[in-house]
Amino acid sequence: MNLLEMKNVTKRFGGLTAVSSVDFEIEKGSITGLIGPNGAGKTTIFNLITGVYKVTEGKITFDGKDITNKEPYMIADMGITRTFQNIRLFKKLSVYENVLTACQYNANYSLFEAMLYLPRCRKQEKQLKEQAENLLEIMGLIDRKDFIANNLPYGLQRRLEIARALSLNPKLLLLDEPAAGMNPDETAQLMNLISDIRKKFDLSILIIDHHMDLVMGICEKIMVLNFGCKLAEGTPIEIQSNPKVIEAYLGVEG
Amino acid sequence: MDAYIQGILILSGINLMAVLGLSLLTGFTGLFSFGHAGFMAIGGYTAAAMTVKYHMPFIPALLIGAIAASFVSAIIGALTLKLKGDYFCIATLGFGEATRLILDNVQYFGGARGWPGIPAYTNLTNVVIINIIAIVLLANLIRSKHGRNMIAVREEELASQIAGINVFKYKLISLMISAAYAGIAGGLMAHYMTFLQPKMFALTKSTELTIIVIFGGLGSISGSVLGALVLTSLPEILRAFSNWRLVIYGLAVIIIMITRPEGLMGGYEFTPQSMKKLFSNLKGKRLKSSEGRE
Ligand SMILES: Nc1ncnc2c1ncn2[C@@H]1O[C@H](COP(=O)(O)OP(=O)(O)OP(=O)(O)O)[C@@H](O)[C@H]1O
Ligand SMILES: [Mg+2]
Repeated sequence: MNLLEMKNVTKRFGGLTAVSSVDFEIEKGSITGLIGPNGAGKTTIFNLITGVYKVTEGKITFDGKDITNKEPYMIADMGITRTFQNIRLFKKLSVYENVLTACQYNANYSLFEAMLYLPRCRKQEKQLKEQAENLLEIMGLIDRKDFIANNLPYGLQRRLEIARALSLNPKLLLLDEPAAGMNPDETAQLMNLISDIRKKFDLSILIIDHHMDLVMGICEKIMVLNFGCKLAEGTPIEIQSNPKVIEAYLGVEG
Repeated sequence: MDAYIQGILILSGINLMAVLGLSLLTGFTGLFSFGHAGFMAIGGYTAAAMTVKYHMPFIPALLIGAIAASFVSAIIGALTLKLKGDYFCIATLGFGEATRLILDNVQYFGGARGWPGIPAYTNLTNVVIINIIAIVLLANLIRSKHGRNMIAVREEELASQIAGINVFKYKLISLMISAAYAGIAGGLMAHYMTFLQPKMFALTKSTELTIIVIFGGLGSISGSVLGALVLTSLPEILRAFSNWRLVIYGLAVIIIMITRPEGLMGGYEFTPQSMKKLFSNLKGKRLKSSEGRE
């Protein structure tokens, strides 16, 4: 079953076509890769799925529902969230506050209950705090709970951004170059983390990255984008042996 | 208590009420407003109309003033908070000045000459009680998920959206609560001065409120309380120096902002826990320094 479907999706910025009639599906429970040269339109696809950019043409459905041009917060509420290529944390807040802020999918106490600190607010807040601590534990960030996000080492900032995304309890997680700036050791750790997350949280993952060992290692399916067009789609083995892909992208790397 | 000191405390309390509201908007949600005097004016004139023209009791009149200010803020917010950039800030500036000019010409409220004969309902007791309630409600709000959402909006709008936060909605809520607080401050002022004049709500008043919030430290309720007490009483105490008092006031603000750019409290709060921590730190330091001497 497909969790996400993009039909004939195009995005233009004035005269520039960043994404050109792309058809694409993500199967429920899968880890899918999105690769391509710089400027191919990968991040733009993330921005279209999450509602940050408006679609010029085409349709995106998630879980059978049309999400084309919905507001980002609505799409997040429906179960899609992401990390950013250039990390966007709540920089001046602590690690704990970053996660706690995003932990709210099952807290529905009202503003008045909050201002009067009524029992329902107290009870739900207690649960949220437990959830946040639990998540920090799983993500190995609990001992840095009170660090200011901006003061974390780079690799942990990326990890925190994933933790924050997971606090929404998403069905689909989009990771934009999670291994950027990481050494091979850290990249290997990240691969394990991503596989773990999928199992533990029962979600689907779409991942953009330039580290081929990572993408080929954990993705079941890969889409290759070039100049905004879909160049190829298939299993890692099919992609690695596809002459068009080797010419446009892999050849450059190797 | 000395009537003079009591007067200074009441004025500080009235300012504090407006500053608490602005603190939520500017310090915790990251939106600057230069029209909060306008919300005070709406709250003040509405509350006074209720007590003078409809003989309503004080507290319900204050609340109606707050609702009126909040309602007007909702209209401004709905029109400008979706726009990118500083439209909101500019709109509040225009709103504040427009409110004053309109009131100048409404003869029903005395126009520019002012409106005397408002009953003197405001006293130190009710100012203190209202401020305590306002602080407790605000502190509860900020500690809740709704408050965290506002802080998230201040920190990083795009990330907030992606975390499922309706940025527009939380900006609007913050503005409406903020304006309600300013409205109550206006009502308190009307019933303390027993006289209203549009001039009292000029741009300088809005600026003064913003200066207090920044001086106290963005994102700190304790800072706003401290800022309101210090910066309201300072010009009064300095009144003896007449011509020089505003210069000294300005210098004091500049010196604090240079030595502590994050404001007096800068994101920290006075809570029982933080006090304990501070004292144990101080104790630790004293122990260390006494060890050094031995
Ligand atoms: N907001 C925007 N306005 C105008 N052009 C844009 C905008 N966002 C992206 N583009 C353009 O769209 C094209 C695709 O950009 P995109 O960021 O999606 O590439 P990418 O595949 O993520 O590249 P990289 O690997 O460098 O991150 C680029 O030519 C870029 O300049
Ligand atoms: Mg990119």
